[in-house]
Amino acid sequence: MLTAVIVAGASAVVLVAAVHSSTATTASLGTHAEQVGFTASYAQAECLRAEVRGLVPRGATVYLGSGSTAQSQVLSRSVTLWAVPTPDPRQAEWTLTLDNEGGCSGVRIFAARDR
Amino acid sequence: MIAHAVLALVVLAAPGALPTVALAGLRPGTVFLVPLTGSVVAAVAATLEVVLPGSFLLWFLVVGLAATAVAAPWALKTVAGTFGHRHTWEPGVVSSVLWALVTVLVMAAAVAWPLQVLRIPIIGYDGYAIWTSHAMLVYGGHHTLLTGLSDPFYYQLTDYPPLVPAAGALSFVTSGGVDLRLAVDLTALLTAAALGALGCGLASVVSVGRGPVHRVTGIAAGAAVCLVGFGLGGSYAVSGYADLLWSAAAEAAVVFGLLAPRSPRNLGATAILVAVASLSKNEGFVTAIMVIIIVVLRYVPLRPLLARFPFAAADDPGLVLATLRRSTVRAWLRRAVLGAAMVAPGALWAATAKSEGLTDVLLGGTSTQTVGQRIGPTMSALAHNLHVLPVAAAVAVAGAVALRPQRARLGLGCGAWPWLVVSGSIAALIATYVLGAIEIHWWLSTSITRTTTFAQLALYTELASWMLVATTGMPPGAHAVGRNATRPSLLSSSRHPHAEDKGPATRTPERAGLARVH
Repeated sequence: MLTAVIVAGASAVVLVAAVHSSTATTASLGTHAEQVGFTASYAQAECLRAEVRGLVPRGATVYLGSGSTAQSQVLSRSVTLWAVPTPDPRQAEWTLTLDNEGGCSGVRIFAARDR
Repeated sequence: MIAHAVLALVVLAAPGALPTVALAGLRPGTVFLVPLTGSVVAAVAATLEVVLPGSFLLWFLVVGLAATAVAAPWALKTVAGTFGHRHTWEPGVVSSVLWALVTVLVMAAAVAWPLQVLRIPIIGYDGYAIWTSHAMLVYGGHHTLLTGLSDPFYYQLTDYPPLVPAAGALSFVTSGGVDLRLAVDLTALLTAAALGALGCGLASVVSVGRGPVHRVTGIAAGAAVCLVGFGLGGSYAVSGYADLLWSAAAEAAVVFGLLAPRSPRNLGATAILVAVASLSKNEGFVTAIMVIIIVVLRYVPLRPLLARFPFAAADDPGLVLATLRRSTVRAWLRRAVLGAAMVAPGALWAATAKSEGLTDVLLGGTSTQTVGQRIGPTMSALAHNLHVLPVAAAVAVAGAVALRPQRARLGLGCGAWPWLVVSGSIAALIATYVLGAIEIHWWLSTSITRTTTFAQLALYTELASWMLVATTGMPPGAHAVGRNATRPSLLSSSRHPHAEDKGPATRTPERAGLARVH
């Protein structure tokens, strides 16, 4: 009986403390998401996706840089379902690069026509 | 936005309704399991889309209709068995329905409150870099999907399972175009559904034949674990990540498959949940396999088959050996069939990823750091994130020593099994970090809070389960009955007091040839 009380008590105390801490975390999710940049990430993603649509025609073959770089991956996500990435610059109609100045949360896409 | 998210959830849930009722029956947890089953249908459709021509919508319709057609007879039988013979609203029936309703409402409230943050559009790094990117590829059709996944330069972790991307792609279908926010919202809703299923599973542990106080305690414990789950997930729970989704699904599978009394309905719920975990993330697949192995061992033990030993022919050693061998082989065959059925959805994706050469950059390559240099930071980070481990271990040991009769009276599974799963998942985590190629400090700093979510959630659930066991109490005279009360005779035909399967449509474990030991 005593063990049952101790087990129930210890479990209940830890659970209540965890619920208290969790609800505090959850209540501040909006603020936290903003702090860690999740709101900015969303705004930047949608902005870059819209920018690509104004720069290259739908279905265009685009070169996004060589290798698996952060820049080429941001670009690939932005062109998905609009343009077709190719690892070969000779096959590309456009070359896209990411500039560190611009209206999409500090970056913008620069497009150069290859052929 | 709310209307779009609800529409996407309804379309996702539609093909999951009848399979869920057929597998898990009509119970509070069914409400939360239905969209999860729909997400498994979507994931299987995306897997087929990788290898076969056609659009995602086509394969979603094909798989959804096939699953519904196969499940319909069993689902209708379950519904008829539940309501068909009840012509009047007897007090017991009304009480059961009311308690089920209360359970669903409380769990729904517990998992809905954290979703308020979705009023602002957010997306996490992996939410965009991996999950919604893959969702766009799935939405694009076979050629786009295969081309994108085959290109590791541009798309990351292309071997990750397709459940979250497939759900996102379906939200694009329902909204008529790519909407990243909607995909993130749907992932959060699925996460909430998995936590709701976990909460309902925990509440069901003390829901049969118990008084109002015990039922309220069970519901409160379930709701507490739901709230703790979202707290553990933090921002990652609502910004498009899959970590809390697979963790909650895997832990709910532990609750239904290893904690709750054995019944075909609990086994069905477990099958759905391990499929969700294994199709949500690679870690989920590994953990799901551990859960499946132990569930199979629990549901098809060797001992009852050996009990069919023909004592009358014990004088003939050859016959004895042959019988033993035959019954053992039969048991292992049944284990293999059950295990294969449960692992099939996840294995289908793993085989597809392997055959298409999809890559996992986390495990490929060679690290410049030695094992010794990697293991220290890994253990330190784990210790930092598993504060609850010592308390949970102490409670489990005390409970195992002093509360075994109470636990057995509730028909719960062996207390060691959840710990085997937790230990296995932590061991897999250590092996991944220590043997991986990425610089360890950066890797830990960007992932350890998410990768330990399952272990933490499992430990809190363990505490909640022992709290329920301890508060349930023991009726007078139960001590006198002792161990025999907890391990009924294999020849006995009496049913376990807490076996959940009721009604003419269901099969008891005994009738299904499954053992009675827990």
